[in-house]
Amino acid sequence: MPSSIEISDLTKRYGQFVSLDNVSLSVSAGEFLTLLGPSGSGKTTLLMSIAGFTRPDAGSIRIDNKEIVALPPHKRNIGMVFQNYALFPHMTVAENVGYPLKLRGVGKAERDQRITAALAAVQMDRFASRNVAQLSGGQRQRVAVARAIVFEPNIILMDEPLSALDKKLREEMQVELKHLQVRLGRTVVYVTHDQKEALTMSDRIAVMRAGKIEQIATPKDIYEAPASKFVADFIGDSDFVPASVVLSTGDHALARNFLQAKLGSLRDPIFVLRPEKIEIDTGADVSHGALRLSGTVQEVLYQGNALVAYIALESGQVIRLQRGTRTSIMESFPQAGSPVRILVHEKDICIVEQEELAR
Amino acid sequence: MTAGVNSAILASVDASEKRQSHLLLFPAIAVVSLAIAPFLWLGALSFVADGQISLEHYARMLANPSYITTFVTTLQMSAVVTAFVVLLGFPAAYAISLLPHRLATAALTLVAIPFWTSLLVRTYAWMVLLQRNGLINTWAIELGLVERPMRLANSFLGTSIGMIHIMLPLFIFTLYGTVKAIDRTLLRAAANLGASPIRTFMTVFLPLSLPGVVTGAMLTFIICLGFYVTPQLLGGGNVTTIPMRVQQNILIYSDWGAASALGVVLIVIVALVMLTLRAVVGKRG
Repeated sequence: MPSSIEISDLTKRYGQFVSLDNVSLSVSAGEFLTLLGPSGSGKTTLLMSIAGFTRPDAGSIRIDNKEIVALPPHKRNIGMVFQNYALFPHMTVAENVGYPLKLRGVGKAERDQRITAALAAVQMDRFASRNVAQLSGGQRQRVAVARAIVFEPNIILMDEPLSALDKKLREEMQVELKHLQVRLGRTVVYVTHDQKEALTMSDRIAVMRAGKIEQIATPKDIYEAPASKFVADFIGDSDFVPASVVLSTGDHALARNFLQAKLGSLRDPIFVLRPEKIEIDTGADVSHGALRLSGTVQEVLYQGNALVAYIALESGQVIRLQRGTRTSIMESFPQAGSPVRILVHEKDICIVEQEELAR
Repeated sequence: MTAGVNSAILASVDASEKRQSHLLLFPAIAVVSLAIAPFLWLGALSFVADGQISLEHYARMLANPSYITTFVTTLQMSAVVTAFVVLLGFPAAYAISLLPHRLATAALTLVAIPFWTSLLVRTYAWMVLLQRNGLINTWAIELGLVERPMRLANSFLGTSIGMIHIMLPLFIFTLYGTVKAIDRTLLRAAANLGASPIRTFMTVFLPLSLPGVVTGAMLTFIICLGFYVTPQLLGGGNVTTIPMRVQQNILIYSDWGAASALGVVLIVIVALVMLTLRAVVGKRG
């Protein structure tokens, strides 16, 4: 049975540094929730507080309505996959996976059976008698997962478990881990700074910033409707153009009503322009509400799967436009130096408030 | 081989590097001629008596019970000292490994200070402390712990105390490296999987620090076998170790053969200890 987690008003300071600032968060049973954020945003502190390795200064962590904030880690019965896997080097693969069962007094016969089942779930059953040192990074990762699920914890925590793997393997494991989570039906809290990983795997993403949760939503909502410039900037590529620039230089007649409704409530609004969500205006598309801006192509970069054009707007600001590399697109793509008009559809317009982001 | 562009130049660079690398042989030659050759020569002496090849020196050792006693004393002393060094040194190394970097450096410096102090000075210091009317006895009597002064100096006990103090830093340094290198996330992982702190220590920390303990203990034991000054001074004639007999044989009887026979037996003992330990520990991984 998966468990729910209810975190309220969790605070943790390290001297002057506030790592968790009154964080509240609920994770429903069976949910895959990802904590995403830059380093120092508090995501690891939050995860370690749930695991019991970090003692918060104040706040509450309840699992299935039972307070666990003061419980030592070994009494929490929460599975965890560590960043460096933390496999015991003096034990074989099977001994590693059997360790939590041994601690729980599971008999030899049942233990062997469960070790085999857990290793089979991660396709490592052939490696049971190997030494940990003989395994590759990806194999260690799988064993670490097997060890975290073998004692059937209701909650599994993962601390950047894929960060040490190369890109290909990482992408494979993302899908595999997600499938495993769905099959086992466990609650997973996952920490990563890889936004693509978060988008791929999660039911919901909590974007953290300076010890607070900036936005918590489904991957689609986080990407399509970022709550702030920080979120829009952290997830995906975006260029920001102040609303004043758009309104003074752009042709927005068709989107006027829409824009007015959106801009009305915001202080110092800026447009979030995602390179793949804008297109070159060929003049053919006049049917729906859209925003048009004029500019000059500065440079076109070929990236294999994408063409990226850097376009200087009339205001001088440079934005990016991205297209696929189908031959027909490439053939008609504007050259550097040529004037272009870009078009953003009303439904793709995203506006947030201006703020200074630390770089 | 085909001659390509620059192949002659590249080949000559290869050759000159090879010539230069021969220079590295000099230390090896020095070691062989200055250390190993005399060592073997001394070993060969033990099989010579009155100009003839014989086992007389070894036979005398077996026939003379005082030699047996000396061997037993030396081994006993080394074993006792090693045991206490491990018991005292392990918690110390563990505790230092838990300290934040600065404090750990300070603690290791404190450990190093006696290590840098001359062995002779430390031995004399212990003589002062352990004497009949030394500091320890005086305080113990004043505190009412004992009525009459204890016999600390000039005994097996006193020698052991001195040697433990002398050997402890070396053991702590040896073990500290191992203990410090143990990944602390492993301890977290054990706790996360349900192990209490004691279980974590027994099932993860201890097995992982064992190689360091064994290395440190072996080093301690072997060095203890060769102690001369400390048992001489702190034993006060009541403790006789093999190195003392070696010295007697050379300085008093001028019998190099007998002295080196003792050395050979000592080396054999050391080799046996090492092989046994390696067999026992090696099996565990």
